[in-house]
Amino acid sequence: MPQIKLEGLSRYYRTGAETIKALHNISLTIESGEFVAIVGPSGSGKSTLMNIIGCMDRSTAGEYQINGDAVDALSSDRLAQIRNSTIGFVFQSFHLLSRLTALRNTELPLIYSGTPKRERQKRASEALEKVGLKGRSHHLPTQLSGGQQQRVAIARAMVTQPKLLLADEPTGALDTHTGEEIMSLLRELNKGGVTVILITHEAEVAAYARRRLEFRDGQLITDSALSSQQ
Amino acid sequence: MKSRDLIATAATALKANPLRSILTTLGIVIGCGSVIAMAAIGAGAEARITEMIDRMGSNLIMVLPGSGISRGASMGGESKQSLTQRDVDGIREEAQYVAQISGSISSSVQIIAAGKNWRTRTSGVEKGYLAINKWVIELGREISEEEYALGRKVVVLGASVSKNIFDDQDPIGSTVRINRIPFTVIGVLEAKGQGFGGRDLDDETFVPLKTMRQRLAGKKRGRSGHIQRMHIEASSAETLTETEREVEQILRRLHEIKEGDKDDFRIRNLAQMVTTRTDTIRTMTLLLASVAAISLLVGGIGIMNIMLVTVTERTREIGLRMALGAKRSQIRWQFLTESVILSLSGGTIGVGLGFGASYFLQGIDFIEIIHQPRAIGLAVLVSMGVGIVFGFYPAHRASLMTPVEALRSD
Ligand SMILES: Nc1ncnc2c1ncn2[C@@H]1O[C@H](COP(=O)(O)OP(=O)(O)OP(=O)(O)O)[C@@H](O)[C@H]1O
Ligand SMILES: [Mg+2]
Repeated sequence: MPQIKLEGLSRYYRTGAETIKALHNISLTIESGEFVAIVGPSGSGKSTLMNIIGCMDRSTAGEYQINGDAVDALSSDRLAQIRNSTIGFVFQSFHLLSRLTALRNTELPLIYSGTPKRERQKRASEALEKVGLKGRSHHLPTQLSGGQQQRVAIARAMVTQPKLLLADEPTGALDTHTGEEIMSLLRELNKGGVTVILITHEAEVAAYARRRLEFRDGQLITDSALSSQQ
Repeated sequence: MKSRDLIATAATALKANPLRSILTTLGIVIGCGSVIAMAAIGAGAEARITEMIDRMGSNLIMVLPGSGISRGASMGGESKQSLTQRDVDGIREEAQYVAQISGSISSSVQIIAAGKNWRTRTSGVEKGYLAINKWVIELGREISEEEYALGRKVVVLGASVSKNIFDDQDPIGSTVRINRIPFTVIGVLEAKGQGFGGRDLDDETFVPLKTMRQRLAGKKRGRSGHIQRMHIEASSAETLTETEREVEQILRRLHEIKEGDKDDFRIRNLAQMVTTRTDTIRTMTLLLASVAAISLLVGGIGIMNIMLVTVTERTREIGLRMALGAKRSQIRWQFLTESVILSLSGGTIGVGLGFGASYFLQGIDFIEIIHQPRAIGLAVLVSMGVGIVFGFYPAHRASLMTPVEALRSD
């Protein structure tokens, strides 16, 4: 059973009289453990697809199955639970809560899974250690560099040990060198068995992946395997 | 999600905007403060009534002249002189339930003695009056039967009068001039303290009724045989109603009032009289109650307003929390917890201020304060309720957001 399966999936936005076909008739499957890069020009529907795969948005037509479950049939509570335990998100703009320390930001998903405090802190510390921020647990986001903030976000995404990591332009706000560090982190995670799907505009970043999906005007135009060069 | 995490999350959010949080709770602070003060004043008034009745006797009945409405024109409280000595004697003879009765006439007088000058009130009374009204002799003796009968010029002083004229000296046997007529002081009464409205109950003097008529009441009033009021002690507190009915029947017969016509006198028992006197305090309590209600309403709306702002400001945070796995119900609880903490802390501050205000009000003469710890519970419950009621809508709105749209907003 594929981890992700889309069949004839479409997502339309209706703005006034116009209908924007952000995604149109997409069919694809992604197996567990893959490293997929989604590329395409701005407005081609990459983020829209990512949001649907991440169970944050619903399709207009077609079907989406995650681990064999038809997402359309699931309740909003069940979707929240899937986002909490099965999926980790990394965003271009980090999305850390500015009032909370790195540790408490990392803990957030565990609060919603009802993990006891002691256990939560232990796992959050471990996650921060894995991304190389052991000494920064008690720093606020404003006291961290962009690269460090994105690492906290990755630690937060991984703290529940999800099987799927979704990253929407994770290096978009970082310089080349820091971007490379973040990408090596993601590659490490992928090697550990986590499926990684990432959106990018940069060819060097896409090169980390082993499969490339190219979108244009809401349609999947090429789906190609890459020889992993690094 | 555990309640401890909810509270910690809410506290962090509120601490981010301390001034705003405090200002928001102002209405709740005032509302809960009023609840506390109101309870203390209400309880004080109640205690005052009970104490008053105890001090004056719960089986005291007073008969006053009718309100004197003749042809629709009110002639004022006691202008109609419908009560006479004959009525007093009649009741004394016939009534079964009456233990003691005394008529009285009072008048404002000038007392001069020992080079001092004092304006007070003197009442001409009959035997039994002092006992009916729970007056106790502290120094000297009561007016004797002979002095009552012969209308002797003797006077019993209230504690304040004695204090003001004689200071700490023993006044027994001294001569005082009441409206220039010499009287011998034979007794001083034990102090009763303050009555309602801060009136000094001990600023009184008593002489035999007959003396009053002949010497002090003035010719017209003195000779006419009219009296101002009757003081009656019912044989027991339980038969108060029967006593009142009996007195009414006798007086109606003596006054030849026809069946269906109105009484030309008024019968009051002490409980009724004291209750009328507490009207001021009742008004005050009512005022505080409305202040409390309005403040709580305004405070609640303030909380709702600030929570709506908060939810809008933190849309992205809501989206993020949802992306990380927060259920709708958990988001709702988070914001509801915030509004309840907000209103509860307002309530707590209000309780403190309410007690403070009660202490301050204690300084005012006619207000008695009894602190009511039970009101704390009420204030806490009320403020919590306000937080829940007015926080629900903003919290519900937060929970209805969809994660993508919330995350995209800035
Ligand atoms: N909420 C919305 N309402 C209306 N149209 C929308 C909405 N969200 C996205 N769209 C439209 O859908 C299309 C695809 O948007 P999407 O965000 O998926 O693009 P993208 O490929 O991620 O672009 P970028 O590389 O700039 O992030 C765009 O034309 C966009 O304008
Ligand atoms: Mg995008």
